[in-house]
Amino acid sequence: MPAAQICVAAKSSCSVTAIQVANNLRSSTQIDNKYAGLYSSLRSFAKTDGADRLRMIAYAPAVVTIVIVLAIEFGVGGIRNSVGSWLPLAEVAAVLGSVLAGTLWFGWGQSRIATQAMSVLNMAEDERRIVSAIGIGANWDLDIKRIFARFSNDLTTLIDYDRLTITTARRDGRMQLEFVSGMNAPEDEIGGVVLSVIGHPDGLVNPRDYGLHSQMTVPISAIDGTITIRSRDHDAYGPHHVDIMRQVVAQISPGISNAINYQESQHRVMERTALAEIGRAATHETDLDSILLVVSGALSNLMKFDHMGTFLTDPNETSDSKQETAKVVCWSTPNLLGINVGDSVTLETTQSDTGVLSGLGRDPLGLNSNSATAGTEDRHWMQVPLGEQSKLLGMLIVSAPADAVLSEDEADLLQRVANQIAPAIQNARLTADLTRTLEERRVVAAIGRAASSETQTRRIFAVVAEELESIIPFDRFAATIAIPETRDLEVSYVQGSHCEGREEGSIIGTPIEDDIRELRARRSILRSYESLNDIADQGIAKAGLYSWIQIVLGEVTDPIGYLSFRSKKTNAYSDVHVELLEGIARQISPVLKNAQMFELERGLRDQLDTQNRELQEANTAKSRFLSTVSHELKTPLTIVSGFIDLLADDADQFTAEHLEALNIMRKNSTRLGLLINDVLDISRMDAGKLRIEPTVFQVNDLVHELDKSFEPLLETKNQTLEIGVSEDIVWIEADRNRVAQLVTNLISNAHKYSNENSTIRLNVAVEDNSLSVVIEDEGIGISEDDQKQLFTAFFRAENRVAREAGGTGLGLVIARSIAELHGGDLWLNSIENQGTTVAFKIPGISSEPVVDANDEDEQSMLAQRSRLYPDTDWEDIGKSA
Amino acid sequence: MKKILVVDDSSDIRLLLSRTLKAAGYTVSEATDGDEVLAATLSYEPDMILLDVAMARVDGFKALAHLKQDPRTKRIPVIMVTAKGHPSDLETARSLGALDYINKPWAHGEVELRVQWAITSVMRKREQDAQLKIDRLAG
Repeated sequence: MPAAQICVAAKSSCSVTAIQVANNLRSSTQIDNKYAGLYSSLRSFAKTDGADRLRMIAYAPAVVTIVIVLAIEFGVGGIRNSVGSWLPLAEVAAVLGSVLAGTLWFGWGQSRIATQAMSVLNMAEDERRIVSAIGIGANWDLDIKRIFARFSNDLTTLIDYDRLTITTARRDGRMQLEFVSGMNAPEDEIGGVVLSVIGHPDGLVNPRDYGLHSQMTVPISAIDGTITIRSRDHDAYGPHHVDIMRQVVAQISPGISNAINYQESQHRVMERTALAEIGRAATHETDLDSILLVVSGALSNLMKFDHMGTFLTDPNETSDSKQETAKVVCWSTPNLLGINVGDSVTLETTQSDTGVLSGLGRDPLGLNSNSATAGTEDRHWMQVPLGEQSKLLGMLIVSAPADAVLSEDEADLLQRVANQIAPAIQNARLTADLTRTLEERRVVAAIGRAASSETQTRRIFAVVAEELESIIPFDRFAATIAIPETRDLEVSYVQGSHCEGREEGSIIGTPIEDDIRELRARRSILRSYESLNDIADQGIAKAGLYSWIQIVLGEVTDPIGYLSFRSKKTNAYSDVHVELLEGIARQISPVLKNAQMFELERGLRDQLDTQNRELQEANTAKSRFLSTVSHELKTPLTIVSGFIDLLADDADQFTAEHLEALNIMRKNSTRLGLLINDVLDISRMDAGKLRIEPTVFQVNDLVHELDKSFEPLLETKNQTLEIGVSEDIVWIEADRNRVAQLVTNLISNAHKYSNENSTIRLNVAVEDNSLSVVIEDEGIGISEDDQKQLFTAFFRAENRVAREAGGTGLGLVIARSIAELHGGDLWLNSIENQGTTVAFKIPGISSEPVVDANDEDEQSMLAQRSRLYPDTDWEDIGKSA
Repeated sequence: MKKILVVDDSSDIRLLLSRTLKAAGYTVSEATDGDEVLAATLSYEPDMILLDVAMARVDGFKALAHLKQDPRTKRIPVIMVTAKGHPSDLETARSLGALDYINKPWAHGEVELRVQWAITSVMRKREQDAQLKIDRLAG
């Protein structure tokens, strides 16, 4: 132990030796300043009670005695002689006594030095122990504040003070009060800036006001600060105290450094944690507000800002200039620094290399030239860019009170945070873009799909409104349809705000000239009014609808109508909306056109249907009327013709004139009967009730029968019926009565329209399993014009012969109908004045039926009755009479 | 002399048919509507009946149904007389048991012919039935 060596040296030797030893130790052990206190106290002691002086004082009497003795012995004889023989003895005794006295004096002085040196050494040892204890305490602690507290407490055992302060230098060069112990002054504020007064690093401008007269300040490099102690005593501190302070500071510095390192590493961990948290939020959250909430929470322990926000560029706006416009999308406190969400900001990206902007002021974004609306206090602010400078997304802005400092480290951290969230914003944008694109596509497709399945214009508009609600904000949607001819517009569909005079169904004029011009030029109107007074339409102005998009449906020159979206917000719409709506307009325009056509068509069809129904009803009524009338006519006709027959039975009682009259009556009642039957057939045809009852019968038999029945009629005009029929028996499955009626009709027509002495040819043949019948005459023929109308009911050729020939004009119609009912066909070929050929074909050639013997009665009855039908009797009354 | 009952609500038709049939050698009695048919048939016991379809109170089909339901009258042949002549009417008449029908206006001689055919065919049928019975008894 060097201290012990010093003690031994001091005891055994003189103080010079002790000082020597101390000095040597000091240099050899090279412990800086460790024994500086001891050394200096020994040195000062040596100066005041120096050994040289002590030595001089102790041996001075001995020297004087020796000088006197020598003088007596060699210089002054008289004295020797006077003293006598005992003089040498006295001389020896004097020298010895004075040496002894000097030695004793020297020894005392020596022991006094040793004691003093011991006490100094002891004190030094104590100081050393305390100093090292303070150092150990500081080394073991990681909390700076606690280190300061313990240090300030322990220091009192070494140095008396009434006030201790520790300050650190901030990055701006100003000092900040970190710690105060002892007397507190009102201006003290831990963490606050100390007023910079030369010589008063603790911020006390007038320490004497507090009764503090002494001051000592030592630097503490570990924290780039100072420790200042003050005392009420005058001149309380000397170099020794400075030495002690320095030692103590040296002792605690490593501990403080440690603590600072630890704090910094803690800070870094916190930073890392915060960044990780932010990164996580940025990955998982899609909403910028949520991300910023996490950011501000995570950074609150790391940075001194108290407000945070972002402003972002509009991804849809492309700018050529370096100045880009951004919109404030989040801001923690409305109107702080005059910033509000939704404000438009000019991005200044060229001001700094790093892109970080910072400053102190009220209006960092230059939002408010008018100071009244700017922030109310000067604040620090810092902006870091979001995203790469070349493709800036926006800025992240934080603000701190004016006395806080936003350091470069914080700028760095903030930039890292910005880098963390920028991809999230980019992603969110891409996602939003993608989502919007997908949603738009879905909506367009849904509208297309829904619209194409709708046939009513109003419903199509309803679909449009419903689907667009999610992607286009509107307070009022109206669709108008151009009224053909007038070019006025009818409000077809409305959703949202009510506008007077623009309700559904109301008629509004064409758009005003300016609007038309704009529509012609751009196919759309995109407008946002600054003031409601600028809006021409009172209804819209009253509803407070500032923003407006109008889209043409169909061609601009001939619009189907318009889609109109209005919003109460200003600048609610952009070209993006217009583009989307134009896509939708393109999609629905053809559908609307179709729907319009369909509606028109439906109107026409309804009208036609009504007319048709009325016509059908009229026709049914006509058929019913004809049927009823015909039936009602039959009974009186039966009575008339019946009694004529009864009269004819008594023909022998009448004169020739009576018989002639009777004959005419009978002929005409027969004709009336035929007419009624024809009319009934026609009415049945009209009602679709003309039916055939097929049986299998022999064609040859029928032809023979008809031949016989026509004989009397043909004789009246001396006409010949030439029949060409195969020898083979032909069977057919058909309605025998109807076939007979058909042939009868045709032959009687041939008879009627042929001259006397002409020949009528009836050819019957089998072709392709069908019965083919051709009736040919040499009659007057039918003109080409008349042929076109031949198969119209009640049509008769307009000529003399036809009129004279009588007839209903129904025969051919019924004939063809009968042929068709059998699945066959009838056609006619005629040359005027040369003759007419009518032919028909009926399928159903059959083999001979097997007649059930038990059913013989039935068969014969049917045959009998068939023979009696049609109820025609061509027999001349005169002849039968 | 075969007895014929003529049923029609038109007196002119009744007169016409009476005269026509009398001239053909039949005895004729008349009924004026469907509701009289059964009583007239039971009292007169005709060999055959000419029954008009369209009558004011009870139409011919209902009257025919009554006749055919009554065992005393069901074997008497009935010929319907109709102005409609619709195939469905013919079907109705046959399904109800009418033997034949005559359309208005009928041809000269048609009524006599149909009536004669009806009577003879019924007679022949009865003879056949009787012969069948005899054959069966004999067999």
